[in-house]
Amino acid sequence: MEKLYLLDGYALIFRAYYALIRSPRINSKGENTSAIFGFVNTLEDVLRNARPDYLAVAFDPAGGTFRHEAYPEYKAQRDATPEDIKRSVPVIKEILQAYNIPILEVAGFEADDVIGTLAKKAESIGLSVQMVTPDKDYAQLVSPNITMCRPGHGAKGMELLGPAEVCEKYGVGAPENVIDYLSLTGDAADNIPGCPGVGEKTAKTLLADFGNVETLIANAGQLKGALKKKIEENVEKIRFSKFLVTIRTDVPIDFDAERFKVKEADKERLQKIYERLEFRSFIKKMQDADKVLKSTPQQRSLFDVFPTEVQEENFHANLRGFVEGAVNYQLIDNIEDARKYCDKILTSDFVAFDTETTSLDVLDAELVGMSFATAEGEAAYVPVPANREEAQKIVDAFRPFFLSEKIMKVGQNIKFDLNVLANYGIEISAPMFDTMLAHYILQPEQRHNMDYLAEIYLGYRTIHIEELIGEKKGGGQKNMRDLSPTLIRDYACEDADITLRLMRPLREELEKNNQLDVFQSIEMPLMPVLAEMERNGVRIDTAALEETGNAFRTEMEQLEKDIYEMAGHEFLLTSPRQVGEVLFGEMGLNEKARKTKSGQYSTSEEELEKIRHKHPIVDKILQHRGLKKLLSTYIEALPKLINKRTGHIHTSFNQAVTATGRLSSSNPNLQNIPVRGENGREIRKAFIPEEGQIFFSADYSQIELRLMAHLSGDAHLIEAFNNGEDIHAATAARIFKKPLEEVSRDERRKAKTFLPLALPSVWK
Amino acid sequence: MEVSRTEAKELIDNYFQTYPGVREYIDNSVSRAKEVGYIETLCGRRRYLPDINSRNAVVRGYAERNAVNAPIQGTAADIIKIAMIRVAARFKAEGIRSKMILQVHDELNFSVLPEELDRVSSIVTHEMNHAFTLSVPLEADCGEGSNWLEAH
Repeated sequence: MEKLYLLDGYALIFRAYYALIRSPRINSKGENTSAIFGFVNTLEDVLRNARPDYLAVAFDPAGGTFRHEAYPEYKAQRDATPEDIKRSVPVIKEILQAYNIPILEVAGFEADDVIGTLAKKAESIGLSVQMVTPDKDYAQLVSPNITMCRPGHGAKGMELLGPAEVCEKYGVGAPENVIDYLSLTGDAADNIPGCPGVGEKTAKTLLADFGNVETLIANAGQLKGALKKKIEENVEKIRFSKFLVTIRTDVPIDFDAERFKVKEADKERLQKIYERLEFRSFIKKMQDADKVLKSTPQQRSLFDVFPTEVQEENFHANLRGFVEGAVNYQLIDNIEDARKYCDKILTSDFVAFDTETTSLDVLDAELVGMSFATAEGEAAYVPVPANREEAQKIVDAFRPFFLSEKIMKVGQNIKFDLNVLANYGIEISAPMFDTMLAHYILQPEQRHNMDYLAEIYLGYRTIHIEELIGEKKGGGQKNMRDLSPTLIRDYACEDADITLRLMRPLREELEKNNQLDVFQSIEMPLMPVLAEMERNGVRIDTAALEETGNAFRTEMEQLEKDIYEMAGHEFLLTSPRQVGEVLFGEMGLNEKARKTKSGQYSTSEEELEKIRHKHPIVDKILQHRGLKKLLSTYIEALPKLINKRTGHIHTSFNQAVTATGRLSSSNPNLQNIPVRGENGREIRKAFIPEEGQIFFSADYSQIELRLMAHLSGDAHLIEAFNNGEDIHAATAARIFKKPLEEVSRDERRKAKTFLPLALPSVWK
Repeated sequence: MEVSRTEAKELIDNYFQTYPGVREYIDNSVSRAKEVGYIETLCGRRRYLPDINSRNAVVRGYAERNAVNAPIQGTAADIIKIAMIRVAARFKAEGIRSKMILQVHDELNFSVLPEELDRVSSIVTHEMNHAFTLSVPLEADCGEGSNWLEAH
């Protein structure tokens, strides 16, 4: 039996777009390509694995349909189509043209009417029809020779519905009764009313008793009480809903065997489009397919192909993964072999490496093993024993490799490996290539973990760590140390192997963007500098912290007393509801006070700032809050961060986090220590130099203003800086149009503080 | 700070009159970002602004602010990173035992041996001031003390 596949264009595009909404695919031009990627993915799966004889894609036409004409509110409440989707549609149509796949649009009819009509016509001439759409309405069309598949639904990520499945799912006697079912339940997404007060359960019961809505309406008298009333009062709505949900099968369009026949794609054109979109995995798949095309085609059912879970990560169907036998992953478990292996890799120009450790906390982490990859599919795992002396011997065997100034050492987040190896007295010499940092330069705001990069750049699904040591959530995560080396081998080798494979596409893209320099001469050399700073750590004066903590607590007590006195009674300062009640309810400090969704007054900092001048209590509440925050985020938290072995705090400097390129830090986050104000000062006091040393600090002065001067090339601004003028006074003199020496303090203050605030477009 | 709406507008207008290049820079940055979809720092670091042509004014406004702000923030980041690399290299080359310990905002912090203070101070200020050549000088302010607060 010949097979016809009919795809619902927009429905698939929307689904693809929203399936990836939390981690959209963004290419180097900043375009969101989720919709296109997801659509092409489904299309490729159908073509490659279901091998249809005929295929067409239906789109809703521009302008309304007969449903809109009859019912202006039809789909009226929907949000405007996201612009990323609007931009994607012409590209998808272009791709379909390259595939030589017909695009069907019939004025006045929706895609489902077009597909419905064609499905019925094709069935009548003996074809088997598959409708590919996430839209449940199509279920009404299902018959022994017409099935539907819904990507992204069901436990297997793919729901296949034949007549039996439809009847069971909707509790109806025959697929066409899905119309009756939807006439009763309505569809909020399409603004179809249905019968108010009748939900899925009631609809199923009613249809089980009466079969369809016409019989139901005719026999509504048999019903009792409220339900009877609902049906009788809403006959019009039910009938009208029925009209709206019924997919038409009489659209003026014919099944054109010649036009719908699956043809050879225009590969060149397709490749160009994919290159423009940066769909590397599809290009690779196309090339791979060309290679194996004439060998035995794999016959798999469509069911196997779609992802097994609906998770975003697994959304990308067709990802290749680890296949035993396809790669050569060795285990090297004795010192002689380790030395021999090191000699061998010393002859390579590029070697990727990775470490497996007992902990993610670098200072306390011990090596469990190291993996190395020298070519695609060629890798080895070297377990490192728990015994420190034995461990050192194994690690030392690789010292020549780490110190080589000739070999490009490729890794993912090398800073971690660098710090762990430092625990064994090993340094790593340049040149290095960090795939995480490379991707940070390419796409600062995307994720940079290896699993993600492997999917995007290589179309490869890695063995995830959870498959080895279990989920973090359940608390049952095992330590790497407790796993057998053979078990770790494939995972660790794959990490190194994939990292090595990632280098080339990343490097090419850096080159293409003219970003190789910022990567090679800034991010890469900075990485070991940050690693060393992390290891150095900083000393904390716990006694000073305690003192500050006590002072803060005393101050907070005094503030509490004052606040209660002003309010006239005690209340819970930590409860926003009670604070709101006091300030707005009792004291009436803002008649137009904003309320939150839950109906209580908003006491956000922003709201309180607005009424700060109205009563001294507001200022005191804000002060109290500020102290409480500093107390918990720093004064009480810092001592807990002190490493027992070193007695220092080892802040993490994150090099691949911010959108702007600035560094960020965590444990503790130094950026959040208030720059101004007495209290932030108290926290800085606790950071002290090594015993007998001096704390030295150097701060760029007005660097952002200087950069504005340089970037804008503004002659006056440049001149002011070059003359070493007090820039704020100079600005004040100019904007208040008076000589420099007559500028008042207030005027200078305005120039210094107000302008940068008022011009958020210019300064942070 | 209490500044009335009219005064605010006047201040801003005067500011742009005083520094017309700034106005021009803002306009150029935004229109360039609208064209290519991203901004670049002086070192070629990029930030993509997918919403820069959005029809939603709020979303677009945010992207436009970033089009002006990100090259400044990003270049400041480039510069301090270069300074850090050079300071570390010189410490190593000159056998300095004092340590760079913290980086925050536009500031570098060190734990310094007393006998190395003068050399560290001169290395750090020199490398920070010369990390990048702009049409205006870069200037690092230094301080020292028994803790971060005193040095800051």
